[in-house]
Amino acid sequence: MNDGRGQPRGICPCRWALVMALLGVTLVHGCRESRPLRLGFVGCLTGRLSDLGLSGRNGAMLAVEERNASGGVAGRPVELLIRDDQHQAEVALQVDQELIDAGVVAIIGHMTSAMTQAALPLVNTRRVVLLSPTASAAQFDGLDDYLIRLLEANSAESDHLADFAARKAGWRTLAAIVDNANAAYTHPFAERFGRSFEAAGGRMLGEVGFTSGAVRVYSALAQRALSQHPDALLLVAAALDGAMLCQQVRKLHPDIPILVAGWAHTPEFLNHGGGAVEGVIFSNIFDSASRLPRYRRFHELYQQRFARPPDFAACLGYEAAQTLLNALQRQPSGGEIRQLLVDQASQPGLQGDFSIDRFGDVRRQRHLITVKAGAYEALPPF
Amino acid sequence: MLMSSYVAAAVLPFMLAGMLLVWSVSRSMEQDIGTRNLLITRSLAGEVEQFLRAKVGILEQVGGMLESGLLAEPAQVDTYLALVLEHCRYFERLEVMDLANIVRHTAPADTEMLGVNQAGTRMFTQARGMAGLHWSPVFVSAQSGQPTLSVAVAARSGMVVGYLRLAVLREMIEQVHQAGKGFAAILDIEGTAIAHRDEALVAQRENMGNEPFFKMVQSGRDGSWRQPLLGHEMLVSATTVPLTGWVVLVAQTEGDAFESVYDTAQIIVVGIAMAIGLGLGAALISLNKTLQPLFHLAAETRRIAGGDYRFQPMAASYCEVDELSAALSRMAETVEQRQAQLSRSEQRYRELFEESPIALCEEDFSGAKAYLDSLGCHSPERLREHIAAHPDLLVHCGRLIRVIRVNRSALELYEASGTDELLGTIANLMPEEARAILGPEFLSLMQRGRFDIETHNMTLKGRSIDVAVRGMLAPGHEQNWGRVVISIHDLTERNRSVRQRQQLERQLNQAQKMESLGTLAGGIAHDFNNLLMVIQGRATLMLMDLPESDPFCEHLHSIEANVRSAADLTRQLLGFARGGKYEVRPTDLNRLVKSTGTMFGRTRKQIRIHTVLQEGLWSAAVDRSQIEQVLLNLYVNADHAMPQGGQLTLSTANVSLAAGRAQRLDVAPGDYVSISVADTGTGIDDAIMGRIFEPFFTTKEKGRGTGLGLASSYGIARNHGGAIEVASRVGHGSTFELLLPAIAEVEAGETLASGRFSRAGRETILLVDDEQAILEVGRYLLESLGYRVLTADGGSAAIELYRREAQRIDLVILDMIMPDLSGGQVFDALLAITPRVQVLLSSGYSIEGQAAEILERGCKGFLQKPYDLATLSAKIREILDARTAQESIEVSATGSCSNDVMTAVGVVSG
Repeated sequence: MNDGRGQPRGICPCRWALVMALLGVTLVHGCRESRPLRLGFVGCLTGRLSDLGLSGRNGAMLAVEERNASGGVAGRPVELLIRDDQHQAEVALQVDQELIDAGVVAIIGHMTSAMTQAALPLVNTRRVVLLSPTASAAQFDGLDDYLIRLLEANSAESDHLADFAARKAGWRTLAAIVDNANAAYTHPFAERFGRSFEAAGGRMLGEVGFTSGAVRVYSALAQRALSQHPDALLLVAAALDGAMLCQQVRKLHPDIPILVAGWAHTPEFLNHGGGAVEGVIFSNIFDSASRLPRYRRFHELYQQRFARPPDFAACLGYEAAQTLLNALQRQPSGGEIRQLLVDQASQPGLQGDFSIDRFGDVRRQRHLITVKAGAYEALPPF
Repeated sequence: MLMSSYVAAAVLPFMLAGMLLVWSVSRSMEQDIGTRNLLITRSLAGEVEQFLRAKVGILEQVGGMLESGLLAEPAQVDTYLALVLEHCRYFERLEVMDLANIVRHTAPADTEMLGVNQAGTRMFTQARGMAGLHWSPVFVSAQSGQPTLSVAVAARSGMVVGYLRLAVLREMIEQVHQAGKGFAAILDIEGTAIAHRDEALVAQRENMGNEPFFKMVQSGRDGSWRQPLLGHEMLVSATTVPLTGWVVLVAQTEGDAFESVYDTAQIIVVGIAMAIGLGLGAALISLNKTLQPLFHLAAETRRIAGGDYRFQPMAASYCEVDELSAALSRMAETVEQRQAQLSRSEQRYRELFEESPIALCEEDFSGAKAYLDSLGCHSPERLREHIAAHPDLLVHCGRLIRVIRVNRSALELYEASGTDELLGTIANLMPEEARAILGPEFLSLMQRGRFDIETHNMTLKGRSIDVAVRGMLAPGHEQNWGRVVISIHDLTERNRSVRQRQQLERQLNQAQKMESLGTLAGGIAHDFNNLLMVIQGRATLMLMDLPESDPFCEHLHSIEANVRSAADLTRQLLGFARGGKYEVRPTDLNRLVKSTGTMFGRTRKQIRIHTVLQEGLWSAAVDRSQIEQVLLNLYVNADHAMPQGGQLTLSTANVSLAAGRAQRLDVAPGDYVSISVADTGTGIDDAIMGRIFEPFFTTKEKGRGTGLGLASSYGIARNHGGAIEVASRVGHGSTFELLLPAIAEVEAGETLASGRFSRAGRETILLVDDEQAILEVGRYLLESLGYRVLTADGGSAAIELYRREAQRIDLVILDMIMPDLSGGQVFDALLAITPRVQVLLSSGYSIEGQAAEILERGCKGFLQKPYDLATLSAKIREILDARTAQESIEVSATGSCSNDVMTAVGVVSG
């Protein structure tokens, strides 16, 4: 009935089209702005070796939560997808694949060298950065690949402990108990330590091997190592195994000095080690008693968030996530993430700045750590 | 539009009420659900509390047994512990430590653990300081590698530690899961999951310490909250387990928790939607029934608006619609009738427009109006200001006005051969310099919607015409001035007539003024001449009685000289006044001009006199002395206008005045002799031109002019039936043209006066005058000439005396103006007594008018007062001698001498 001169009875099709177009543009724009930036985290979150994974996860979560609270990366929220590799190679590959398929821009993990070694071919093939907070096997050094590490190769740790044992402590003989479950880490560590110790004039008596989770009689391991009458023992194992070994060693030889690989440097080591771990020596890049402001702030936040103090894995998980987020903030459009991380002049760390070389490797200062009255404490440099 | 409004009005209240109902019901139900959820949570927490207290009680019982000393042997202790563990499968393991925190007993038996040093382990150290009871956070069991937690009960001799199976807690929360939707969970004091439906969360020690519900519970408030949890929007109820500080939570996805709310809301919404649908259906049916007739009426209305007035009636509908239909039908008829009337009116208007004898046109002012609006000229004040500041504005506006229609009379007025010549721009009709008139037009249109002005236009042939233009905005064009109907009246002839009439009125006024002044001057001159007459006479009489050597003779001569000067003055006055013409004779004006010009030229060497005289110039009947006076006055004025010298051109011509010029000069049409006196002097400006013929008006310095020269010249010309016309241009000179009526008679030869005194006589003369002094002086003068004198001091006395003494009276000198009888009446009376009475008329007035009439009736002569003795003697002798000669002729002709006494009467004017 409308003859074209009266009032229109509804919105004409062209007006509908215009409204819908504007709505579409608005929605697309909004979706683009609010689409989250996905990061992956993968580590061992269950079982005997879960202490590194859980701490690393907590550290990474705290960094992401902080970043989201301050507006995300270039206005985009960050979503942390967390997976458990159960410290099994096949599971590690599976969860890495899941994360890559989910569109993560990079993966933080794995937390052990063994899992890192298992995942490396996949990430290199898929050209996805694998930023490991704690993997420190020397075999990863100098490789131009998609693995980037925040912890230097354990050769430095081996050298540091060997140097201390031979030059500072003056021990002449050492026996080692080594976990084969993380052979990618433990074996090079033990070998390097032996070479360094012997180079410094010491002598390695023998190495007692075991596989975490497969043995329940730690006393036999201790007995076998002590039977060589070493001046000191070297334990290359995770926290729980290390603590239990210390318990058994102390029952047999209450005074023998014990050197422990940094892998065990977690609260679980203290919880299970009790009085048996008093006086053991670590070499680590983190000093849990550090008074540096950046670290103290992180320590406070972590304590509030998880009701427990952070360990070195938590610190490195936090640093890994923060380093990755800072790089993405500098170049929110993405691009080659690896190039944003490597060969940078300096990255802010919780206990001092660090730099990542063109192979994705890092160098940091080391401290000697001991256990005193149920807590970790740094020793003065020797 | 109506339909959408109708639908909106019907639906909106339902929608609002529905939304309010849904919101209210949902809110209430959600609160109930939250409360119920919290009650479940508290109940679960209570169960957990009760369970844990029971387990603590067992450990305390174990401690009591150890303290009691009943178990003296270590083996007995191990057996006891194994027995307890067997009955308490919710413990994974039991340990007994000594005061140094060295493990002394375990169940199940584990030699590896015996002797393990737990000194310095924080949880056991804390257990000793916390009233003997401590719950550890969750940790990985060294034995199982699975998460676990321990509860330590301190005793005097050591500590009993139980390692709890978290699976037991999971069984407790499972009942919540099985009871309904959602799940329950237990978190330790750090927020780490220790019991959860998803075992992986427990295995991975998922920490929820950052969740809002956890922080609320930690701050001492339990309750229910809606928050995101584990990737879903959930209703979370949480409370604490007082014994351990753990947090028990029961969570459901909102979809599950509020399913009943959504169902209820959905039922309400569906109910309302159905109600709305039903209402809408009914409303639309009703609306359709209402609208269809309205649509029909709308279509009919459009058809009527389009000019088709045949209204199609519709089927009966609601009575209101029927009423509207009927009204529309009536409206259609009315509109049709009015349209027809309008068409006839329009046709009539067109006919009137075309056939009107008045020039009409329609013009489009919309361009000019839009232009003025763009300049902000929305009010007369603003328009005035703009016009004052920008005069060119109107020129431009003129270019924007369009002529859109003209009638036949307009074509004739503007001398156009066709309509197309006038349509379009007004530039051809209104030159740019005439467009200032547009200002008043615009102002008047703005204020009154019409204008009425007089201006001048150009015809297409370039002829300027005076027009009265009246314009009026056509109805419907008041805002944009799109059509202005204009009538144009040709005022050219009317204005010309008006101008002529105004000029004639000015001339008439001038003439009347001059006549009044002439009358006044004549009266003065008359009285003055009488006085001069007495003075003149007395002086003459005294001189006659005194020897020339007498010292008084000089004074008396001086008196006579001054009387003559005074007489000249009155002569001037009389020249101006009517009746000042004395002796009129046919005169050759060429000779008069030549003689006066020659005489004047001798006295003004700096002036070149150029004379152009027409041969065969007609004669004119003039008083020569007066015309000479006129010419001399004109020469003197020309001289004064050329102080540095110049050329004076004197010319004569025969002219025939047509009616127009004669009317303008207030003279009779006919032949005239023209005498022009043209100078090359300063000229006369317009302000002076109107006053130059007034008596005593002069522009000359004191002593150089009396102000009577041109006035008397004007009077003399008028007295002769002629006129003086002046043409002058300031800076170029003036031309005075004297026009005198031409006559066919030519000038006779000049007769010379004979001697100072004519011979004396002995006749009897009756002197009549109302002035006693005149009578007295006249008597002495006449008697001094030898005449016998009778006197009468009035007309009646004179007639009486003449009746008695007619036989002896030879001449009557008769005054013309007297109180009782005028000179004319007396003359008629005397003529009745003696037809051949000899009368000499005397007056202080001029000969014109009454005197001339008396002369025509038989009076023998006129004597202008004052007169001297010689003039008097000459006039008397002229009459008496003529009478004597006549009588001699008659005697010789008849051979007999009549006894009739021939009496000469001299009339003396009063």
